[in-house]
Amino acid sequence: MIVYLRRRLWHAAIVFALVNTLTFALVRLAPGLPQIMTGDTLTNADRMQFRHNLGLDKPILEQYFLWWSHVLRGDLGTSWTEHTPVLHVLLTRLPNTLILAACAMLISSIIGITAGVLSAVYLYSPLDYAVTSVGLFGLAVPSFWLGLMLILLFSVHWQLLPSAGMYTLGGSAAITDRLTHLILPTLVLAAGTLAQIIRFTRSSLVDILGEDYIRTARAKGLPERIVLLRHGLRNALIPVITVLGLQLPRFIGGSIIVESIFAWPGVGRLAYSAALTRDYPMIMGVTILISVVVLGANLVTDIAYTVVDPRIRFE
Amino acid sequence: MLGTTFSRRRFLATTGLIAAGTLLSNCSSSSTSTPSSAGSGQATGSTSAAAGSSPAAVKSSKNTITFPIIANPGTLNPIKESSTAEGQVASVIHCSLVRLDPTNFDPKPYLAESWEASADAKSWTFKLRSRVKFHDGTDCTADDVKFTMDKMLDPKVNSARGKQFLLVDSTEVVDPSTVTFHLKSPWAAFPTILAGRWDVVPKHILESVDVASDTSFDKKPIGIGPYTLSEWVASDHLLLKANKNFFLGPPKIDTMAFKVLPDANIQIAQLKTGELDAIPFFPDASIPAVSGQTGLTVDSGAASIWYAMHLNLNRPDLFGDQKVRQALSYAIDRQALIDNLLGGHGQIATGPIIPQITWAYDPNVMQYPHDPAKAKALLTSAGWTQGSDGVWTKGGVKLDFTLSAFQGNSTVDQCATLVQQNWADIGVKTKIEVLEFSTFITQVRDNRGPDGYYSFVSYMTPEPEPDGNYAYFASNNAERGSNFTAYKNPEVDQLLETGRAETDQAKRKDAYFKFQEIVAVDLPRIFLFYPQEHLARHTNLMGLPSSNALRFTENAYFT
Repeated sequence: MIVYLRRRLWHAAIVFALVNTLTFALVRLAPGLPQIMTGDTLTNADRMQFRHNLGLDKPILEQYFLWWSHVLRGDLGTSWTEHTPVLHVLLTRLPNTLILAACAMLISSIIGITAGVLSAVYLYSPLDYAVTSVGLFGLAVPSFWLGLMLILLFSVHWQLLPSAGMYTLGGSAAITDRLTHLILPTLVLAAGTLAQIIRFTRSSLVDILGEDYIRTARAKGLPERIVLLRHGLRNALIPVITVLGLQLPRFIGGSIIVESIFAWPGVGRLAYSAALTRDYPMIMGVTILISVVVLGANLVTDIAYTVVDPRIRFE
Repeated sequence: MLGTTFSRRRFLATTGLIAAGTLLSNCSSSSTSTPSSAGSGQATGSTSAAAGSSPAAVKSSKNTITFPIIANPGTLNPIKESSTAEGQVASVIHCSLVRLDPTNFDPKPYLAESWEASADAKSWTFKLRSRVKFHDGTDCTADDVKFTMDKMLDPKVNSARGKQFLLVDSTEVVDPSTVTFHLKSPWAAFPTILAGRWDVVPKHILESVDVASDTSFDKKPIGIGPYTLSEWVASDHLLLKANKNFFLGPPKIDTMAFKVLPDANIQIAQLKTGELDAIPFFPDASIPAVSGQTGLTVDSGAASIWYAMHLNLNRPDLFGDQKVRQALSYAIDRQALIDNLLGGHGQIATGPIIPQITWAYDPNVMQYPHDPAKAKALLTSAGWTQGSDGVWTKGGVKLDFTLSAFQGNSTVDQCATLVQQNWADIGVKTKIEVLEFSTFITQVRDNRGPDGYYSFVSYMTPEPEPDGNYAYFASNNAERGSNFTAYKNPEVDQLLETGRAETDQAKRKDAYFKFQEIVAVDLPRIFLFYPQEHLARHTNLMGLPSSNALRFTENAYFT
């Protein structure tokens, strides 16, 4: 177990270094200038001054090692556009993204697993077709479209839910107010994952319900509910855990569109604006954060997998 | 060590706790980023009498005006300001010496009550209003004005705005309410430029800090403007309170909010739901989305913007001949551009000076009505012939080139498509290349030699003064600066210098009329149209001009 963990951590460290090196290189090789250097009134001398102040006139290898030496000491630098330490910005944004991710994950797993089970139990029934088509719809529609449509219907047309933001400006910021602001972005973020969870739960449960031990359980007279939940679903959930684990990074890093549409001040929007303004320290900060989350999620999923599935053993 | 029994219940309980923990920590973290003295425990509560306890209270009491901004401002220190969002919020917190009349862009008194130039236009003396106070109660005097200008020109601060004032040699405090700027060379447009990109900052706060690296003033600005910052939740919103001591009288609306809303569609949705009261700089393409809606209206007014096709004149084989440029100009159906891109809200451009600057605008220059036949005739007379593929050629050179545009502005890339079609109709072939903005600007600024870019479409936003065009057409900007087409014409240089140095408006007018006549014939850029600036608002919000609305917020009121 310890050996396995240590090996996995080594792998993770290598991947982490590679991802960040690649991003570092790509950001600097991409055409274009950081926004602070594109001002209309700046002369070339001014731009050289900026390059010097930001350390961009050093050889790229030197910049690279300087950057690592700072990162390893916990210094992610200062954002060029926000004029605030990158770490501080990331830490204020991360909780917002985590809330959204947690809600989306909760919603997609509760609804997804329930719907998947219903689908598998009533296989090829109208209910099964309905669930699978709704799931497919969620997977197929682009989230910016779904988001705008939901806003048009629920905010503009029916005026039931707020269209964007985390709470009502000038309101009390009560918990109910925050929850109503969570509904639409959570739905949009959950939509894509929901479909995958439905499909995995359904197919995995269908497989398992054909297993010998299910027939045995039924034969010994267990109530169908027990057969389904204790013997069937428990085993069917194993692949679903993998899917959920793999979706976590998507929730953290892939919420760019959802966060932009719903003006949600999270990490995804930060990544987007940092890329647009060529805010190098911020781009690297977000990359570090997201690579840590992805690698961590993969590691946790693998460990969870070996724990829930007794057939898988550590070497 | 993890044991063999994996308990789902324990797993759920643990994750549930983590989720609850993040929710709670988030509530508290949003209030820690509040820089103000509001000191309220919850993020938005209790900032002013206007903030009620429910959303409905805000809507009905109408003591709060809410605007969108597209990004979180990095700084609200006007010396360091560099983005649109920063400028928008800063313009209600800070004031300049003068501000521009939103209809004709004439400079009008603001912090300064009067000003005059010396006979040679090299020194400008401003008389300040008396008893103007900063938000912290300190007097704003000539010392602050001098301090601000000195800091903007300080190479260590490296202020982007300061680059506009490189002609300023020194600033002299004559007495506490009089200040004189001494310029290196005469500059008639000085007050107008001051109105656009200059705001006074308090000396007593900033003199002891290193402005370049210190960020405390960036996040807690102190100005003399109609509103003071009271709360700032980064990337979410800013709340401002009316400055009861504002020198033009207290603003009529108690609270102002800026919400960070990066998506234009959401801004419109929030305008419709009443979560926003007005959207300044409303895009032309969005007007149909709100026109005809009850309770909403769009005002349109002057904008100091012109759109143009840019041809790299360092590629003389293609664009060196004036007749080729004129042919390309005749080929464009400008009214169709205005109808399709601006919904009719615009005017055909005849040159680089906008018609609202009535004293300097020359309407009687050479014009280019849509005339494909004439375009072809001009190309023929210039020695070009149409090949078997219909594309014009001359000496092995084909009128087949790249047309660049940039992302993020639908008017620009749609304009490229329409012009491409217009040009294709007369046998000029182009390939459109839509670049990301920072790539685009690097390309047209640093890559304009004989092997550089071919052509691009963009808009220019000169300061609303004929002299605002100096950098776009003067040959000393041809290699590096904003003279993107690398146009060099000594006569134009001379006229621009005259217009810059002369204080007699009649003489300036003569110089700029001549300038407009030359560029209309020579076409260093192919001028397309003048768009308008729009303000989308609720009909119960009154008092704001359609142009530069955020500079006049003290006049806004709800009916």
